[in-house]
Amino acid sequence: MAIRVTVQYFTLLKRTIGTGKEEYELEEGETVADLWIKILKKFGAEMEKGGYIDAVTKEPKSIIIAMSRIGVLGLRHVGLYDGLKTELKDGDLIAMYPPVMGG
Amino acid sequence: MYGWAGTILTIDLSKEQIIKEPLDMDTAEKFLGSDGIGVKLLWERVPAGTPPLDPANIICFGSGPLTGTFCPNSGKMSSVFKSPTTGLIGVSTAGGFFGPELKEAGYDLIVLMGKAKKPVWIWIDDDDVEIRDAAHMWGKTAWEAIDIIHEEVGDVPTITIGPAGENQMFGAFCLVMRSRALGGVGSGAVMGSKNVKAIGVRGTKGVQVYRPDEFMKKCKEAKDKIMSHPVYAGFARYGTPQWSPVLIAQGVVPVRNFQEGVFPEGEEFLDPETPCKEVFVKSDACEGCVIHCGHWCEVRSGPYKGTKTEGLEWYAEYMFGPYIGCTDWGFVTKASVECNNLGIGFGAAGMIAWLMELYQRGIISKKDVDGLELTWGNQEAALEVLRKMAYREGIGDILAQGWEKAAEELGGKDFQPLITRLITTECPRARMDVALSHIVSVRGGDHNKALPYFAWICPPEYIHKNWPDWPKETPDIYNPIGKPEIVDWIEDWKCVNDSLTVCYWSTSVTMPGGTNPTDYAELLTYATGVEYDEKKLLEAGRRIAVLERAFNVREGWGRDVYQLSPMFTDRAFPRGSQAGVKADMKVINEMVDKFLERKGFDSKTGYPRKETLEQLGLDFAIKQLRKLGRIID
Amino acid sequence: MEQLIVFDPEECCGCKRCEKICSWVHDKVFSKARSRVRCVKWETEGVYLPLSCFQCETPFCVAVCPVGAIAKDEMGVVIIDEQKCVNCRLCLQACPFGMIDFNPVARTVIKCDMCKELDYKPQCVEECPTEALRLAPLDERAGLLKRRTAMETLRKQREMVLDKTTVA
Repeated sequence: MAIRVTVQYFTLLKRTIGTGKEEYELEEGETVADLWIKILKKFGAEMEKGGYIDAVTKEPKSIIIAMSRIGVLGLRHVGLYDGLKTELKDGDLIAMYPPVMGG
Repeated sequence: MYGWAGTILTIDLSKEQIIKEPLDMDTAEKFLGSDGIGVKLLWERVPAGTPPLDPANIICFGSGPLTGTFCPNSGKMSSVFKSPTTGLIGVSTAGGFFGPELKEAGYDLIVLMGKAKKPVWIWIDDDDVEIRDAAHMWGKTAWEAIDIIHEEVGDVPTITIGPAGENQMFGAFCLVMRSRALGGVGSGAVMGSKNVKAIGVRGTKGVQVYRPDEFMKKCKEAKDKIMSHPVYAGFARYGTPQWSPVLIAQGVVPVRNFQEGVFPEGEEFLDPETPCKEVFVKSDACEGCVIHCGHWCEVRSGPYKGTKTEGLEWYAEYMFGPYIGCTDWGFVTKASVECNNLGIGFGAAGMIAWLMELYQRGIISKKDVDGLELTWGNQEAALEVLRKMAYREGIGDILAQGWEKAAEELGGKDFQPLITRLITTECPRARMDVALSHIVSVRGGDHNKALPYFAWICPPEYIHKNWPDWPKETPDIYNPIGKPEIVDWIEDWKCVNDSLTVCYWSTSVTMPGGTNPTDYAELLTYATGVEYDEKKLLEAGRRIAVLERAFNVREGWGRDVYQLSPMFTDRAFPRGSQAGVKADMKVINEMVDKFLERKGFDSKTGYPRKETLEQLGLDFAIKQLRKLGRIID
Repeated sequence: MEQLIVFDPEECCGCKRCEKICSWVHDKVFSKARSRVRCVKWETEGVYLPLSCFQCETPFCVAVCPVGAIAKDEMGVVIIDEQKCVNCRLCLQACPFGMIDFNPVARTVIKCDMCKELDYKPQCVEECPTEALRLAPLDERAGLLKRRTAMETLRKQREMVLDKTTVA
C-alpha cells in the first residue's frame, strides 16, 4: 500500500538542492534510508557537491533529519525513533537541514 | 600579568573618585572573569535588599583572561548588576569591541557605584581615567552620543545608553558599539540611574599570554575546529536567523503573542535566504571572530529605504516579525535601529505584542493607548510604542515601569507571556528543555543562561556517549527525564563562557563536538600560567552559577520565583506538531525540584544548602544567608 | 616571486584579526594599537577597509628618509632598518596613504614588512576569515583577484535586478 510523506528542506541544504518542500510516495514498511535513496536519485549531484553524503556509507552527512508524525507529540530527531531504519508512516513530515544554531 | 589585565577600575560617581585595585589572583583563579568576578563583587559591595535603581547598586562591565588574546571569538564582554527588570541578578553579555579594548587598556573590570550629581560619561585612555561632563549628550539617542564621543576622542569602542536608559525604563539596555547590546534585564536603566551616559575606552598596552607558542598552536586548533564544524557554514552565511527551521518544522513559531505556532504567511520571511536577498549586504563580525554571524544591512526599498545598520539577528527577526504579525525585513531593520538608538531591549519590545493581543480582545481600546491603532502588524504603531516607552510619554510611562505595573493599569496580566519575569521566543508548552531552562534561569526566563542549545542538533548518541551517566531519555526534548541533568551542566558551562569571555556560538554550548571545556582549560592554562583542567574549569562555572542563584535567594526570592504564565499553562497552539499541548506545571515543577536538588539547593524552599556553598568555596555567603534565614544548614 | 597583498573591502567583516596577529608577530603581544595593518572602519556606512603598506615602486618614505634607513629589499618589500632609523617620523608624514604608523610603546615608526621574518608569509592573510586580504603575484595576474571580486559583485547585483523584474 502506498504512503505519502512530506519532506521539508531548510537553510543551506535548501539552497544547495534548490527545493524547499516536496512529497514522496513510498511503500508501507519503507524506511528513512529508503527515502534517502529516493532523494539521492533526484538530488544526488547537488548533495554530493554540498558534502552531504558520507563517502563510505552513502548515508546522509552533516544533516539533521527530524520527523513529526500524526498522533505523536512534537518534531524529533530520527535517532529518537529508529535512526535511518525508522519505518515511515502515511502523513509523516520529515525536516532536513544542516545543523543550525541561533537564539 | 598574563591573561588577566590585573586591575579592577572602580568609579565612585557620588564621590567623583577613580579607584584602581589590583585583581586578587585567588578570586581570578576561582571566578575566572567578568561574570564570576562581577557576581562576587555584587555580593560583597551591594547590601541585600538594595533597590536596583538606587545608587547603592553597582554595575560591572568587563571581560576575562582570554579576551583580547587570539583565542577565536573571545571578543566578548559581560555586565553584572542587580536587575531593575526582574529584581534578580542581572547578567548580560555582548560582542563588539569594547571588552578587548578594555583589556588592552589594562583593566579586567569597570565597576560603577554611587550616582553622579549630573550627567557624565567615563573616558578611559589607558592609565588616564576621567569623569567627563555629558550635558551635551544627555537626551540624545545612543548613536548621536557615539558621534559626539568620536568627535571628541576618536573612533573608540563605546558603551552608551539611549533615552530609555536615561529615563530608567525597565527594559533599557546598554548599547555596545552601534548594534550590540547588554540586553534583556535592564543594564541601561541602572546606568541611567547613575547619570552615566556613556563609557569610551582606548587601550595601547595590549594583552600578554604566559606560554605563547603553545597558546597560539591551541588557538589555531580551536579555529580549525570551529570553522570545520557542520554548524559553521550556515552560521557564517545566515547568522542567527538560520534557527528558523527548528521552530518552523516544530510548529512553534511565536506568532502573535504565542497565539499560533505556524506562520504560513511568513514562510518566505522566515527563510534565511530572504534577508540575504533583501537586506544583508555582507558579513560583519565582533573582535577576533571567525564566524562573522552578523551582517551589514541596508534597506533598499519600501518605507524604510535607506535604513542601515550592523546586526539583524534572531531576536529582532522574531520580535518584529511573527510576534507582532509582521513579515517585513525592512521593518525589522528599522525597528532594530530604533531599539538600539532608544536603548530598549527586544524583550521589552515584546510588550507591543501583548498590547496588540489586548487590543484584539477589546480589553484595551484606542483611548487607553493614546489613540494608537494596535492591530496586528501595524508597523507605525509598533514604532510609536517604542518611542513612547523610551521617552515615558503617555501610555509609555506606564509601560516603562514594567510588566506588573502595566497589567495593574491595563489588565490582561494572563496574556503576558512571562516565564520567571522575562519573555522569550521559545515556547515551553511541550518542550521540556525550554520549560526547565527558562523557568530556572537565574536572570529570568529567557534563552541565555541555561538553554541547552546543542541538545537539539546533535544525534542522540552524542549525548549518550559523552554523558553516559545521564538517563537515556535525555536527548528527547519532550520528555522531562534527563532535563535537570542537561540544564544543570549547561548552566555551569555557560557561566564559564560568560567569564572567559568567549562567544557561545564558537564553543560546544552550540557546537556539539566542537571546542569543549577541555580545550578552553588548555587555552586558559597557556594564557594565564594557572593550571586548569576540564574539572576545575567546570567547577569554577558551577561556583559562579551557584553564587548567582544564591544572590537571588539573598534578595528575597525562593522557590516561588520559578513561575510560568497562564499563556503557557492554559493555552495551546491550535495547529502544528505541538498542537493542543499545554504546559503541565506538575511535570515542570518536578523537573525544577530535581534541578534544584542537583544544584545543591533545597527544592522546597529554593534555599542553598550550606554544604553546597562550602564545597565551592562560597563560605563568605553563608553568614549573610543565615542571618536572613535563607539557608539550609 | 614578488607578491602583493590584495585588499577587498567587499569581503571585510571588520573582525580585526589581521591587526591582532600583526602585533603578535612583531611585538609578541596582542595590541591592535601596534599593528602595521589597519582596518579602517566607517561604522555608520558599513565600509571596512583593511590596508597595509602598498610597497610602492618609488616610495615616498624612502625619498624623505634623512638617514637612508628605508629601502626595498630583494622581494620588493619596503623595510625600515631599525638600526639606522632615528624615528624622526618624516616617513610617517610623507606617506600619502598613511601606511606608516607610530608604536606608542616602543616609540618607533612601524610599517608592514610582509612578515619577512616568517619567510614572507603575511599572517594577516593567513588569519582573515573572509579572504578580505589575499596574496597575488606581483605580475600581470595582480589585478585578477580584484577583477573576480568585482565581477562577482556585478553578478550578484544582476541577480537582484533580475529577481525583481522576472515575470513568473
